[in-house]
Amino acid sequence: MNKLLHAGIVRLLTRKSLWISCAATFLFEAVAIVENYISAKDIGIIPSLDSIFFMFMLGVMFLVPVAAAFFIGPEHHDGAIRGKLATGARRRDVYISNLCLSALAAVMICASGVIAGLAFGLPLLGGFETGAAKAAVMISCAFFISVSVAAISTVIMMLIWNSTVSSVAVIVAAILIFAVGFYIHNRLSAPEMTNAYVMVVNGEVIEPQPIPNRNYIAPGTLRSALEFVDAALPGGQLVSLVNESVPHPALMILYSAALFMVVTAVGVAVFEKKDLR
Amino acid sequence: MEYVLETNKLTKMYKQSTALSGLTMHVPKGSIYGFVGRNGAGKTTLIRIVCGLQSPTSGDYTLYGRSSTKRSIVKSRRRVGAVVETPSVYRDMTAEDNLRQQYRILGLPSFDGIDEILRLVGLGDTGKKKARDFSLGMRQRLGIAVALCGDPDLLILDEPTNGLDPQGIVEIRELILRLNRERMITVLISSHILDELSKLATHYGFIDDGRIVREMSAEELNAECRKCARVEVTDTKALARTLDAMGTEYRILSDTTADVYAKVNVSQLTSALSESGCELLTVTERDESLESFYISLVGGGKHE
Amino acid sequence: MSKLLRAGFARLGKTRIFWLLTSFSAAFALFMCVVCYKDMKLSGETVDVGQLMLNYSTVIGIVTAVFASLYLGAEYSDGTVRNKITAGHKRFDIYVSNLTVTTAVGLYAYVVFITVAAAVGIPLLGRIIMPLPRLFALLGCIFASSAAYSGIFTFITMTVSGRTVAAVASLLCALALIMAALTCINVLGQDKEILTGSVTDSESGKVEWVYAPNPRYPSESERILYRTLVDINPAGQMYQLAGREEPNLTLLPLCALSEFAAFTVLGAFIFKRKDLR
Repeated sequence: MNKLLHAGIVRLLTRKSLWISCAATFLFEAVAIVENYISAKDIGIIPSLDSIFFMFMLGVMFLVPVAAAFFIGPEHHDGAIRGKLATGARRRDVYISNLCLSALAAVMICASGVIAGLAFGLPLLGGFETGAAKAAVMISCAFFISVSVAAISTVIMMLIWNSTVSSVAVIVAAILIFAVGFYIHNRLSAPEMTNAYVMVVNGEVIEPQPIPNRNYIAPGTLRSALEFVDAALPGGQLVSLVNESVPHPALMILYSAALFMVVTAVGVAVFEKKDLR
Repeated sequence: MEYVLETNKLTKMYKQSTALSGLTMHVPKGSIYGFVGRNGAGKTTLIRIVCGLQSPTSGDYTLYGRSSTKRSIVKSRRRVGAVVETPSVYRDMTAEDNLRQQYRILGLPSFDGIDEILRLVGLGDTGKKKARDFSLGMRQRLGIAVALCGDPDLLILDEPTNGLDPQGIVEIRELILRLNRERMITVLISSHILDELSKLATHYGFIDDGRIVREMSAEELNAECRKCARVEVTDTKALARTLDAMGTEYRILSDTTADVYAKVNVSQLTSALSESGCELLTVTERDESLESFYISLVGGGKHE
Repeated sequence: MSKLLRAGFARLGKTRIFWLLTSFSAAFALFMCVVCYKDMKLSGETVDVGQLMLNYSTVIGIVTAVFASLYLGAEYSDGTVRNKITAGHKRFDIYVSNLTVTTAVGLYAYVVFITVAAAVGIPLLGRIIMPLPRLFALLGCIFASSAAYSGIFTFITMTVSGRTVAAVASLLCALALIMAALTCINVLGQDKEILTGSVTDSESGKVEWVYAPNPRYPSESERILYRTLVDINPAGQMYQLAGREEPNLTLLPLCALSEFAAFTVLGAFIFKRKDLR
């Protein structure tokens, strides 16, 4: 495994796609912070760093799969996996080494966002309102989410032989995970009652009559299931992080780790038995 | 002699290298032209250019009398079938579907002849098996079958025996010979397996560093490779008279050298030549195999 | 060209991606009908099936990108584009035939969606409420924008070397267009003034709302810029046509068809000069 990892790290660090992904994440975060600062300065209210620090996670969500596509795709397409197995490497080791390298890429991409956030955010927007300790915990959550995205990307890339199909599949999966997470999170965040209208009579505001919000999901099996999906899948976790609504960071880390292990276990099991070309 | 393909100082330069460097070659009609060169010599680049996949940096070629610089070249292309580097087949289709697809691309009015082509290349019984499940050799055969759609007059095959088992190599060789003899198809084959080519080719083009080093017919090549004694004398006319008197087969190469195709008794020959006032300067034994001929042609110079 | 078109359409039925796309379009229509039905039951409001038919427009970009990557990508990865060139077909004809197939499939996917939405939606949700001429006009504009998408993704797939790069570029481009459109629409949707507080008269109990100029409200020149960006972006066109904005039914198809033509001309030009392997 060490040889596979060593060879893989050398190859990974020479991939342009990795450095482009890191640069793109860095830029995205920097632009988001600077743009927010400039807009907010006009009204004299500087937002807290907490409210926009994790914008880079949107880049992570799509660029980690891209990095995995460009790194693992050629393993199949160019037949490198065949070469490794032919020289005696075990299938499990081949899978795990590729997983580790994808995770490393995810960490690097996430770190690019964190570095940009701190480099631009701290001078312009000041420190974290929630405190450095809480911020560090949230940043850890970001890294764990990134690595779980890497795990999902790895399983898709390792099990689909055709590198074009797998590249498309991994990005479509990222879109779906994000879209589903966004939708579920919004539905769960919907308040129970909503103000349908405000009536103004002769210049006087009449107390608005709240009505039940049709987007609200009442407590029950459905809500519990959706809350689990929201907390366990990277899409919902990402939205929670961006919206500063993470009530239990330790639970988020646990879910990410569990997802990572489950996806990896399934991936390894299928890859061990897969007929390779 | 009529040529189906003539290239005129074809050059192809990429950013970091020059693949072809003023390549001029002539493929006679009805021949099996063996295009020989080492890896990276420019064989596949030439084939890509002739097939229209790439444009030359300079130079041109004519295909069935039409210049590559004219739009009418497309009419000549319709007479060509090619397998370039790797077989061009849809992997998610069966062999029959691949040929049907090619028929549609060629605009052929019906699908008659597909079964015959598949049987010809040995894929008659693949049924519903998709090309992605074929072995490399089967995909190679399917690529050749696709190239045969539309009854081409010129077949361009880029290393067609790649990935074939010994029996497959024999079958493809026999197929090429049959196509050439029965259907008068001109075949341009690129290869680096000399032994295989020597059983097929009627003409040869030796390529090295993007240039044709030598073009020759199979007879000329056999003559070059024949076992002989190369003699250097002061007067080849006197040598010719002497060898005629001895009844020995020979070939005059220049005013001072000749190849003698028999075991030379040096003493006898020296004595006979001296009567005619001719001196025997050197005698060298030559036993050229196709490989050694090729190496002397393309590789020997670099080792001097 | 007719031979190439015939071959291209004949191949569709034999490719998995075509049937996958058909199934997805039908499934998405079913999903939308079910969601609308549940909303209708909860709120008691009538759902316009005509409006439902416009909803696929926000997703069709990604669908077209996936199709182009896999269908046209196979021509390169399998090397079969070489067969067409060797057989004497002009590069322009090859490009245009591929573009035509991609455009036709995009329209086909939308027709599948409409058909299922009508077949399931009308019995379940009621009739089409919006005037039919308006619906047809909107659908016509959507088809024009779908053609613009096809033009863009055919351009990417036919001109970019490297199948994985082309596939990733197409999908990221589709995502980027959507995000850019949403950003521009968000800016254009900003209110001129924002509520900053309220003042209550303690004697009379009257509430006076206090408003201030919205710093995020775009200036006139910014409005023109963002409006232009939304109008020329196929995703922006789709969002406008799907009802989130009031669409200009003359300008939008004009923009869409101009983009279609521009990308086609540029793509055919580049493809003609491209060295193929």
